Amino acid sequence: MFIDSVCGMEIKNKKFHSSHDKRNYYFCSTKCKLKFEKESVRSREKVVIEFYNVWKVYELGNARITAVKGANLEISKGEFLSIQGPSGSGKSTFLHLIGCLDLPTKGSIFLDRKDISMLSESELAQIRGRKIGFVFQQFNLINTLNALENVMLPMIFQGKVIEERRKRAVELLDVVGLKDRMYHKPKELSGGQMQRVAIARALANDPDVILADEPTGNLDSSTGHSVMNVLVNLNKKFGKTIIVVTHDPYIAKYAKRKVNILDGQIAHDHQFMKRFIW
Amino acid sequence: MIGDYFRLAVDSIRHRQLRSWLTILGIVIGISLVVTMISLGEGMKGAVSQQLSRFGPDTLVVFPGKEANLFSGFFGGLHLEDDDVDVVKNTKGVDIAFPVLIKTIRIEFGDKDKQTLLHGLPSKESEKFLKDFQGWELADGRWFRDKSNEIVIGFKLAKEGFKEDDKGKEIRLNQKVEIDGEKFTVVGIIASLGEREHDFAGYISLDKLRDIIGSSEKEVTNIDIKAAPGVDPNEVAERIKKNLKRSRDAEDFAVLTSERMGNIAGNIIAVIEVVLLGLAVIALVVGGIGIMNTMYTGVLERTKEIGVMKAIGARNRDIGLIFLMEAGIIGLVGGSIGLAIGVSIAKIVEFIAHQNGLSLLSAYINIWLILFGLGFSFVIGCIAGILPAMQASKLKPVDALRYE
Ligand SMILES: Nc1ncnc2c1ncn2[C@@H]1O[C@H](COP(=O)(O)OP(=O)(O)OP(=O)(O)O)[C@@H](O)[C@H]1O
Ligand SMILES: [Mg+2]
Repeated sequence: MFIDSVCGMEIKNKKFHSSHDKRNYYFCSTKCKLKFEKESVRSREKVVIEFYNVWKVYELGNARITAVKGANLEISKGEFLSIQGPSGSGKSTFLHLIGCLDLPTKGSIFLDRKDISMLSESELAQIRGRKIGFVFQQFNLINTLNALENVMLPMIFQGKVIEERRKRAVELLDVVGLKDRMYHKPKELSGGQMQRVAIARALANDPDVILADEPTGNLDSSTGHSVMNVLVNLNKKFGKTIIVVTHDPYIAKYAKRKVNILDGQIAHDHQFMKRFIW
Repeated sequence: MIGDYFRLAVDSIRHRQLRSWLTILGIVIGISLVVTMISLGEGMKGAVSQQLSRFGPDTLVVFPGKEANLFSGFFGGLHLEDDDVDVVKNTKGVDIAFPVLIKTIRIEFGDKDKQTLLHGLPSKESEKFLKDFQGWELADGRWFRDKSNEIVIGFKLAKEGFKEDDKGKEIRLNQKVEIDGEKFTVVGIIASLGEREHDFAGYISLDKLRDIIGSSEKEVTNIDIKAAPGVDPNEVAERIKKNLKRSRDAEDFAVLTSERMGNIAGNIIAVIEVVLLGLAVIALVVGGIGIMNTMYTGVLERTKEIGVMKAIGARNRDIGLIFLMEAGIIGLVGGSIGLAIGVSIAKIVEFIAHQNGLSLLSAYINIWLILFGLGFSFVIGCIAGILPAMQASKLKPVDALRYE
């Protein structure tokens, strides 16, 4: 079985192929093939996340729920990717796997070419702290801490000294435009402000990848778009890899690449998806 | 880093003020009891050993009744007689031996009266014995003479015995008190001994006391003895025992050396201490369970927060440490407050004891007791926090994040 290394689709026939670096690559269509040939050198070297036949099965008593069914995917550094799909299709599960919050039941996930299943709990925590930044739908700030302390928190777990933490946190709050709200507790902030604090927190340890699970789900559309603009900026200015889960097609428009998930499977045929789902 | 976790823990304690304070209260009660107990227990031991050190090592006392059950001797109507005193006096190794008769009698002074422990003693022997070997001193005046209407009274009896709400008067030297219609001149006042019993007592000659109570019997409450110098008091005790047993034809008495008395007092204190410490430990266990309960509730409430912290890079041990610290801090705060309250209670008890003539009792407080109190409470908190902290640290990040 082969995988289209541009769109991630499984390929049964070897109609479209190209060789690069003494290896053969196969594609679903000429479009993907051309795209590959144009970007091949760059994209091959910059893969950060690779899924190989990843399965995730949850066991609840006697019931088994298969949330991810044999997914294959490659994500390169600097991509802005949206994951779309109906509720319960496995989007969050997918994101949790990318973020090392969970391990696959079967198959392998490579982060920076390292198989995360081989890592210990504390190594995974270190990776989450250093390489990944999470942004959640419910913001998930710590209520007892003010904005500044919330942004400093991830740096505590990396053992950074207080001066460094403070300096960086102030900078980040400035980037998201909340420097004047440093000492406000989450309760005293609006939804959009909380989400921007959360983004600042996600950036605390300067991670390569930002994972956002419905970051605009709890915001009105104009606030939502301003939050998305912050993410776009991070992608453009700092080259962060950004993966946004959403079921809002308008939000998904910000992404340069779209991945659709249906019932735990990546719907690889983009043409097909375009016609029937949206 | 530990400092940061400490701050996080303090933040979360402060966030749940009411519950935190209620939990802390549990520890406060336990620790304050423990501290009070240790402080007063050590104080009591100190008082006894001070008493005993005045009580020379070579003094002995004969009591009626069996040693194992001295109270039955006091209250069971058993008593010794003059004949027994003679037997003791004639025992080898006895230097001084004299009878002591103690009765509770009403003493009148001015228009007031007071029930007082009146000791009847032979003048010469008792003066020598009490002054030379028991460390008694007269604050004023001299010792009473045999068969005279003279009385020596304790320091507190003179100062406060007949005073009430600032009315009534202090007894001065050469003033007269009345006992059973007979007038006695106060010829001496004993310097305070720091214990209520003797400071509030009166001392007259044995013959006079027998006259007053009108007993024809030669009744004696106990016999005070001093062993000859260089003789082992325990050996003397054995000899006295043997002789008395022969003459009384029964072993219905006890011969106690000062060492033995110290042991008995020590044992009584130890029993009291063990019982009270037992109660305190129960209180602490209950307090610890309270901490555990609060921590488990906290883990449950903060499941999502734990998930978030793990998502942003907290390792299992970071989470465990934060929760463990929280429990430890609750213990420590409870311990500090409990310590302050315990020390205050001990000081108040000491104050009341002093007010009531027990000036030897002083609350025992030193740096070790304080460190012990703080350390102990911190450890209790940590122990109570171990299981909840482990539960928190082992939560799977995805499950914790999903928790609502
Ligand atoms: N920890 C878990 N235990 C059991 N089942 C789970 C668990 N996590 C997810 N699932 C199940 O896996 C499936 C996919 O869940 P997931 O949360 O990934 O969906 P989603 O696409 O994010 O949905 P939504 O858009 O509603 O957030 C669902 O059927 C869900 O019930
Ligand atoms: Mg979801």
